[in-house]
Amino acid sequence: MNDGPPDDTPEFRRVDPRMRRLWFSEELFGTVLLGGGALALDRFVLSTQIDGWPIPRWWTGAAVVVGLLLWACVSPGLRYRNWRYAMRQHDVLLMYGIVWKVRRSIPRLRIQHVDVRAGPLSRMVGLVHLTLFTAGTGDADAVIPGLLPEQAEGMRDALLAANARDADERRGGTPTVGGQGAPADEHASASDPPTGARAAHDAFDDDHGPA
Amino acid sequence: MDPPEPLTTLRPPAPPPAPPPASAPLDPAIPLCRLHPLTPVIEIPRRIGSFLIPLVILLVAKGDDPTALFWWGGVAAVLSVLAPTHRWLSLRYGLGDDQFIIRRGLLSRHVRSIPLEHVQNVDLERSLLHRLLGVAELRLETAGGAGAEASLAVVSMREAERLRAEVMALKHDRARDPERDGDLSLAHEPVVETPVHTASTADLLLAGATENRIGLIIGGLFGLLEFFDVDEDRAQEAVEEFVDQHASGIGESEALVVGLGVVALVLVGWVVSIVLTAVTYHGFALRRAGEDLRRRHGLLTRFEGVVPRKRVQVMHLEANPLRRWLGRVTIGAETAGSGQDRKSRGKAVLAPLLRVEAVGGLCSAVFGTLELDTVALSPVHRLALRRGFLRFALLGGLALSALALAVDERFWWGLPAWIPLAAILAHYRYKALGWVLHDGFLVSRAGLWTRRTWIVPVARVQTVALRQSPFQRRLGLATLTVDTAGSHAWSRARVIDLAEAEARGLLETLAWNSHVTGPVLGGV
Repeated sequence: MNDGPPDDTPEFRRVDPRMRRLWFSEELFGTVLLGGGALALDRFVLSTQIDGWPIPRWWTGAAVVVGLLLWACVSPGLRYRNWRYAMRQHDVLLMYGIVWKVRRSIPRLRIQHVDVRAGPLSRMVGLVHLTLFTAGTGDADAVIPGLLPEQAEGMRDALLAANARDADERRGGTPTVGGQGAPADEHASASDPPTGARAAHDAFDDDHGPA
Repeated sequence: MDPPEPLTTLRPPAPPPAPPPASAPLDPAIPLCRLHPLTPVIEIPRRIGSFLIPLVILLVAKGDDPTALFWWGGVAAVLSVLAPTHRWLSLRYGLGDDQFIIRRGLLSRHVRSIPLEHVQNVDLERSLLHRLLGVAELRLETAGGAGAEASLAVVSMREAERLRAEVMALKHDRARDPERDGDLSLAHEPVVETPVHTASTADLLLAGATENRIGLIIGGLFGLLEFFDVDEDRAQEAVEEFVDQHASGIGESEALVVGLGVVALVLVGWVVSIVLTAVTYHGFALRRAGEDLRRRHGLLTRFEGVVPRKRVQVMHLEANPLRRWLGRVTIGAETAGSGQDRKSRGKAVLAPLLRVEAVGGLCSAVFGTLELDTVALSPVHRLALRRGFLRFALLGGLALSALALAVDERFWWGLPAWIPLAAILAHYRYKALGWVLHDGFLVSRAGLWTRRTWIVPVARVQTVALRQSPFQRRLGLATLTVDTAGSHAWSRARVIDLAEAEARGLLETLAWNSHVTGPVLGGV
């Protein structure tokens, strides 16, 4: 008989504060696209094509642009305030969301492979994102944004090493010490070591009966 | 961060050795075979079919130039013959002790080897043509992204059955005893099949008659009219003429004609739905053979699928109000397979329409230890009632206000009538919600209209998420979503409107247990 989940209060960490700048520039990009679309819609359809459109020309589009700009200014701060993650003994816990709040748990043994990614913008600020993939298809990937490259690589190695060690233990062999020798290139994705993949894969075909 | 403690495991340490890397040289001991010689013959009509639309366009554009038509038609015909022949010549497959191999290409070789342990299910499909020629299409589905599967179209029926039996037997042998090697293919005692569920024709007719597909089919018929470019005025004239001739007494008002037309369309759609269901699932039989579930069905295209029981990730029951009233449900399972067909990927119908009383038996056939009849669902938090009421009242109120503003002021009178109705709907929504963690399974139910029940073995849980809308936050509620391998976004198991603290506890329990990988919950 196993005693349920450990009652530890997770040690939550925040994402890097520079993520605010990154999110702001992303929102700004979205504002340009959506706002441009709204203005065009206003100019070419609403104000010109629809008889009796009650709002003077440009005002509808301008309102949309102002709203988007407000959101672009406010949301990065809120997003940063709400983002937390914790590496626990048995899972990775994520908390995020501004309007809809989400708390997600990704059990370590379910992690199939781990990516360290950086887009051109995040490279400029020197941050990377860690993506955790599971075999689930619903939302198979969980992203922890705003990590320092060393930090992300350390997390990746720790996650994969834990998986490998656990798989070894299950097999009754000697535990593998250290990381799985993942390349230090920050853009390379950690290819799934066979042991880690095995451990995660076992989850598919375990018997339903009591162990 | 501290390195995590070594973890205690509850499972026996029996994982088979790691699969051979994909780049491993071909084991010369594995004999390779070709597909059935009739393969090109069966492929050709399909290839010609894919050239049909360009040819029709050509005919329309250059109908007056027979030489061009002749040339392009010739090219299409040659391609239709060459491509399948090339495929037949270049494709080889072989079954080893631990892997299935497919080799393709004449000049550049492409070898795919599929470790047998990774095979999720084996399907056998036979269209009418296949059956006439005594051949079948065999598909091996594996977990993972698209393109990880193998499709053998076509092999002889005997070969298909042999392959299927051997793949499943080797797979189970390896799972049982990883040390055993070689000489496996002969030592199988025949497996006894025990029937789990057979659908009678009456069941299938009822299934078709109560299906939600009616709306879709009506849409499809309209689309068909559009496609064939039927002149709607002429169609209407024809209908009117018909009505005039046969029922001149009813009256000539146009509304009546339109109404009759709609009724006729609905009826046609309904009949089509019944026929489609009856033909697709004709002779549906689910049998249990050792550790596998075998299902077969189909009147024209016969389908035979094998789902290993332990590959079932989620089982779901589904019933619309009509079916609930008749005491029937549809049962499906998700198997983490990766078929080429997105629509049917990893989905397996276990019963097109089943009496509620029989659900428990089928459930135990799939999940040995679970006895669904003894499972009592506990209700979610009472405040779910208030959330439901707010939601229905707000949505209905908005719709009514919009109607009142845009169409007719009298819709305002609907508002006071809507409030008690919203309360009633909220009540039934609340009654539909329920969940329990029972003996290593999460069972959850939801749905005011179409009611769904998910049964998830806790050991299959991939990730767990808790989501809260602003309304839910104010009421202290949360919705828990369980992601499993191969679950479609819309069919993912949910526990709606749990109390926040309870939801958090459930998240912790599921996360912890999926880590330990074993049903260790021991009750609620």
